[in-house]
Amino acid sequence: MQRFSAFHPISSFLYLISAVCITMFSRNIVIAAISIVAAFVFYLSLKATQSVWIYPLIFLLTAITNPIFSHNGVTVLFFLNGNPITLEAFVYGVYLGAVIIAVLLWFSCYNTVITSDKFLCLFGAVMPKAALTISMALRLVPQFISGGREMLEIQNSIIPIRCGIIKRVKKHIAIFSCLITRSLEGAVEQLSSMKARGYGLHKRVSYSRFRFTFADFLLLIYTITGFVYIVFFSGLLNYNYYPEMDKINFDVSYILCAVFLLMPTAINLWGEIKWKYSISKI
Amino acid sequence: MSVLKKTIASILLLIAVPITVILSYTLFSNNRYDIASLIIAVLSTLAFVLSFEKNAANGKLVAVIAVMIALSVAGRFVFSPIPFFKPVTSIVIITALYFGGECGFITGAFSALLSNFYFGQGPWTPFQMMVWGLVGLLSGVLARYIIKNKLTISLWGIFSGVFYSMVMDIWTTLWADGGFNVERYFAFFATSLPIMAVYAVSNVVFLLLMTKPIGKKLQRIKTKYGI
Amino acid sequence: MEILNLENLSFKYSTGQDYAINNINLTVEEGEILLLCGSSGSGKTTLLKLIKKELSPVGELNGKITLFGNPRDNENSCDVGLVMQNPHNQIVTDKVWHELAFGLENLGIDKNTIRLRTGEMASFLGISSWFDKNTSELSGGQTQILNLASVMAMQPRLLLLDEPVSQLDPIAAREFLNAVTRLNRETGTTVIMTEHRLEDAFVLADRVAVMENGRIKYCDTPKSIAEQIIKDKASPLFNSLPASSRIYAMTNGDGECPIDVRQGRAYLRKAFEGKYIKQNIEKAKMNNRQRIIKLHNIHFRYQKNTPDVLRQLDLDVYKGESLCILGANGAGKSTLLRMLSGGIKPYIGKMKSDNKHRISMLPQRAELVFLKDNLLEDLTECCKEIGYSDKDGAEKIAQLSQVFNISNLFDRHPYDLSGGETQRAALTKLMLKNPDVLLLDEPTKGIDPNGKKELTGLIKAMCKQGVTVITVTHDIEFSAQTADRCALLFNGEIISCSAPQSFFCGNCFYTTDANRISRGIIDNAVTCEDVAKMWKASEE
Repeated sequence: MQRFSAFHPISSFLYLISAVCITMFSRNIVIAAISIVAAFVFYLSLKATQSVWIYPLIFLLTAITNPIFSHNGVTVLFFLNGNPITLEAFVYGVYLGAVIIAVLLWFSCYNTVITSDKFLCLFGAVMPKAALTISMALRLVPQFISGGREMLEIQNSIIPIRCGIIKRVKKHIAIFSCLITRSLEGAVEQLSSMKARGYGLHKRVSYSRFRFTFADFLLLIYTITGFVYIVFFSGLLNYNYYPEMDKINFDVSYILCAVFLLMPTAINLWGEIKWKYSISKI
Repeated sequence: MSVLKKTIASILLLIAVPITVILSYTLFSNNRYDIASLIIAVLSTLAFVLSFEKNAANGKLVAVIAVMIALSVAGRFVFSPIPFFKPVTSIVIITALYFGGECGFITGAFSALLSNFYFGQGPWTPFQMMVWGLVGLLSGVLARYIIKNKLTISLWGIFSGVFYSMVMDIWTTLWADGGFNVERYFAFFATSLPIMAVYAVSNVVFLLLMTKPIGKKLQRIKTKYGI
Repeated sequence: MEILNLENLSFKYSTGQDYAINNINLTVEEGEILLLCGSSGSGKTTLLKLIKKELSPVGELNGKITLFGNPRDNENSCDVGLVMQNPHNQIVTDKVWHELAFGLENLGIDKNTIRLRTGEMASFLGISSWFDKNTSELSGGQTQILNLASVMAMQPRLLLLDEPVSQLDPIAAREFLNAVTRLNRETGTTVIMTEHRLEDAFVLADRVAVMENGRIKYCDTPKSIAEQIIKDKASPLFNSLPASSRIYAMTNGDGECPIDVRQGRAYLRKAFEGKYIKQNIEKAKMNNRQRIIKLHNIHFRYQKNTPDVLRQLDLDVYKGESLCILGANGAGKSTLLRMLSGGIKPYIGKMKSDNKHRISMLPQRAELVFLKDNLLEDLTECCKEIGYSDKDGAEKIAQLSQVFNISNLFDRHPYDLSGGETQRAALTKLMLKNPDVLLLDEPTKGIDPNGKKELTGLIKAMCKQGVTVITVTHDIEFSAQTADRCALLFNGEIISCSAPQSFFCGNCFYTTDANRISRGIIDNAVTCEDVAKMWKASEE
């Protein structure tokens, strides 16, 4: 049971964005590590499908290349082409890689939790016209893609597209401009269908199917207090790598930060347990 | 009325930008250009979307803009056999040429947003929205000069391809480095040169072939619906 | 209560010369279903649009339109709902539930009422099971039902339908019309509908108005209208009539004109009193023909872990025959066509063809065949790409355009042509490369009965020249007219394949109206013409 996905978009969206912001704002390698772990277990609990196999590669690349570009720091490990490679620069690279991976992981979760209709619900409340535009475009995209593929297949069956990049580009462009003509014609018809249903006569409201419950309210409060505490009061986010690395001392705020970031996983696990329990009762 | 709102939006933008810069300076002892740039991107995009929202004349345009956005996203799939040869920028430019800068910005920004619904949202979304939006905005503002003849259109196509690529490289540097490292920027810039060339070429090809025919159709819709 | 009253209504488009609507007087009572019919260009659509204030075209309007007792312009716009022809172009948003709510959002109604009304409408029209889907995943029939539902969610008092089923297959069309009938019977909504396919619409209408050149020629009950059309002899609407009425006309019937199968049987029983006629079934003679394609034990699926779309499929195709493949939605018809055209390959089984055949395929939306803005330019370009010299190409185009009767359309934009014209133009383009096999995908969609008759003639002419025509269709009547052999595709396999006569006479439900009407009275008659022939024979 993915209980977290059932929260109202406002709460889940704000939570995810706060998690990303905390990760990005922090310069602290410990928080980056906590964030990676939290995002990854959340990613697992969501059974998300976005592939992550490339992330370790990005991490390695960032960690290794940073000392090549940055020569700050006092602890010189060795010289490369006459340039000093420092421990600080290396650690900083590791930190950068960790933040990038953590943010990417959070966004993989975001892409699973915040579906397009949740996003539109959020922005429809503030900007109904923009939300309508996006909704209309979202409907058209798959229609145009399949339309384009169909036309390509048909044209190919009439006269096979010959090799040669220029010929291919030419054919594709001809098909695409046909697609444009047809779509613009469709837009005209669509506009009359919209007018026929009273579009533009009154002030439009934006309807969404989500209801804001007490649980959503609680998550919202939790998100705001947690975010404000960690960013402004915990003092964890500041950390210096150059010229010398700051010492890392244990602080109870680390635990609070971990609790904050692990919340969605806990919510999902709780949902899972409740589900199992309710099944065993049947 | 709409003029007033537009001025308010731009004033807000003018105030918001320095505030965020100062904010990001004072909040963090280090120079966090990455976060500052992200905040600028979010706020400036929001400002334009809000001004689009408040402009009542756009009601009728919604259907056409939605089509243009969908076309630019679908174009990425239709042209998938030809790598990096994508019509997105050209469609944004053409929309801007005929419907003005504001619609251009919206088409550009929402094309970025929408294609990320398919390819995955990320921290790059706001920045991408802003850059494509800016391409649209500039094309709308300079429409008179761009549409003059084939040469100016081609030059604009090349410029927008280079512009997009260079600005996105800034983001990549900030994102991968935490600060702005010039060496790293040039490294990214050098690796993206061939892609940038294909962008520029595809922009020129698309613009030369499509500006006139699509423009004719857009113009017809414009007069038909009194936009 | 009068819902609509038109008084001396005339209308001229600002771009046109003649009156599109010419002095029309019409009254529609509450709870009525009025069917407006007439050939294309008779002014049906213009009339509907004039009733709907927001879509009223620009031009010179004389006379009075009164809606619900008030002049049209004072009326609340959501009291008149409109569903148009093309299902897909009317959808606005990306989710089904959002589409249902779209009109209500425009009216500024509060959230809870919207929730209630969308839910109510969805359960009434059976949308609940796909309420959460994306609108782009729906079939044409579902899409049109959704259009109807989202208009009805606004609770209009008058529902206008502009050829709502012309783009749907016959089964989806019947479903849509059933939904309209239910709405009318159970909520009392008044309906005005235009349509040129009368078979299904005729039965449910309370009154029918026939339009010609912007005038209402007759307006009466369906029965008397059918009688009028039959009396009229040359009426272009004759082919649109239900099979029972056509049989009645062809057998010089007297008494009341039947308009559905039940009445048709009663009429025929009386006319053939005591006689029982059995026609001999002609066997399809294929043994002396050359077999050009052989499909044996074909299996196909789109993805590794999806079920088979085609399984154990066997099919032989002979040179110069017209083969119709029938089957319900999702039976695998389009997949089979794609396999025949070489687009996909089976994972088990083999498709053998004697030599490399040139295959051309006419897609469902025939306009997709064209790329240029001008028909002649498109055809010339195609000739060039095939490799004809300029002179040969021009000759070829001239010759084919005569056959397909499109010479007068050369200067037009391919997208501006009517359904039948587009199809003929597309066939011309496909025939340019002299194909041996022509595949037609649902060619009767959006084509009026006269167009179908013309198409039947063209297909027969092409077969005579040795072209093999394979048609995939839902249209039973059309296949009975056109095919040398019919094949029924069910669940991925061909379960029956024979000449139309034996094919349809063996089926009880999956058969033509004429067969259902004549079964047990005249055996083995499949088309109205068959019945008429047997009747003539028995008279002598």
